[in-house]
Amino acid sequence: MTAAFDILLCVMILGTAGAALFLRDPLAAIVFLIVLGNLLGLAWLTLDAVNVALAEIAIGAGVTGVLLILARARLVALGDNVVCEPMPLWARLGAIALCAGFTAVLSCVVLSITPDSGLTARIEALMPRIGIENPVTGVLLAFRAYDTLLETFVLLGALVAVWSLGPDTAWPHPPAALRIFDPGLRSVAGAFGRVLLPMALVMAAYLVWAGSDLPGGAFQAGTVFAGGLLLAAIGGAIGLPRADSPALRLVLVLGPLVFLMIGLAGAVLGRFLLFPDGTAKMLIVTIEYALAASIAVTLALLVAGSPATPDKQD
Amino acid sequence: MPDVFMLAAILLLATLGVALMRAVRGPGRIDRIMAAQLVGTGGVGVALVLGAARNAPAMLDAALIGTLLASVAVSAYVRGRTVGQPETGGPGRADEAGRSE
Amino acid sequence: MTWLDYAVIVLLFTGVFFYAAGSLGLVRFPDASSRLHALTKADNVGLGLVALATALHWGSPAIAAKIFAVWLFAIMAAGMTAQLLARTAKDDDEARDPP
Repeated sequence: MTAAFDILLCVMILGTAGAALFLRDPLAAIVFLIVLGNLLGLAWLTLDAVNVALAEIAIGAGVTGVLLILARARLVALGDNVVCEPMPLWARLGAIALCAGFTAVLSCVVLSITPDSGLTARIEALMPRIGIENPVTGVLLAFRAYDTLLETFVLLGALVAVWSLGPDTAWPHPPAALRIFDPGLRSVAGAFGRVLLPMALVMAAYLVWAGSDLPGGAFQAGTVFAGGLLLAAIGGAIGLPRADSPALRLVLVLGPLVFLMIGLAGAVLGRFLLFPDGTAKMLIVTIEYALAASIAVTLALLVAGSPATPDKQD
Repeated sequence: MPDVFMLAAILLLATLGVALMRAVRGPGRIDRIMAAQLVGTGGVGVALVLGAARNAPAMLDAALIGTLLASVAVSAYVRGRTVGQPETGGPGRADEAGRSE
Repeated sequence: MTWLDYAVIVLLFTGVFFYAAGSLGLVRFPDASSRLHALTKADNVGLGLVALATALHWGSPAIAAKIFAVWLFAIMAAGMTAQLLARTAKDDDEARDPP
């Protein structure tokens, strides 16, 4: 039974990916990309990797879909026909050869991994020292915390890069409003957005707390709340902030800053990002809550786009 | 019982595959978005059933997230439409608040 | 196999039937407005039945509350998307054949 499910899921994933690549209509390709995100989330669930499934569903099927749909809509509004030009034959054959070669190499590597090689034993030996049960959170925020710290700065840098794409006259105004134009539709979306936003906040807070012992974590929580923020903005329940708003800037840097401060405090005690015995869980949860807030606002602003001049606001 | 749930999951996945035909064919853009929405709802159902089959309550969190975020894509599509621009591209009745450099 | 297991099986496969009806409606109905019925109503009834079946199977009140939350939000989201898509379909039809 499980094998039949896995095979069907694999076939559907491959078919969806193929459809996303070969369909000419851009919106159809975007829809299949969203569907692919959903199916990959289900695939992670069948592999019992619930942490990754949460992230995949939230990002691949949620935020990325919104980003692509809005990007296409903006291009269409600017007059771009958004049609894919056919590639020349040599480019197609080269791409096929490259992808086939990469797939072959990856398959050989993955199939050569024996089930008992790997870090599971070592990590399970180390987990009792930090006092949390979820090994993914332990790796992300205790054993490899340095990588996660750098990733949070990369996310902030991406937002700065998106902001820099706006015209000079548009700085520091808010991005073009995400509200739906038609007032009837806007009221429907706004009513739902007002209900969804607090629920998304509760869900995000729960995911960060549960991430210590059960699947969850700061990234998944931040993405869920970003989705709630986007829906509320589309419904007109909340507006988009100016780029120089001090409250906004505080929330954006809160996560990386708290992480950095705790790391430097650890440096004073002996080593950068050292968690003294017994305080690890408290520090990890603090970092995760700050990170979730920053990630949520950063992702929502990434989708909202670069600042727009006031006459282009709705 | 787990086998029963896995059978239901397989059937649900098959219905999702059928619905994807609408995403391929759908003459209008709205038909494709509807197919995406259906896959979202179906995915939530599959997550619920998988959680029951594997006895893993954590999968219910995945279902909850899928529910919360399923509607965002549809509202983004409705936001992005210009009024009166059904099947083909081209200018509509109301102009977008887009950006031009 | 207690009577509860039988109830779970019946509810589960009735839910799957409604999901199938929703997909079939989406593929076979003639235009966007009628497909919307299949999408928002049939699929969510299916989800409700599947949710009820899994809640009965788990048997724990806390988990049943979480499953109820999943179903509640699915219903509310479906209500919103139905409104948005219906008006969008109507605008499309009016633009294609102006009244």
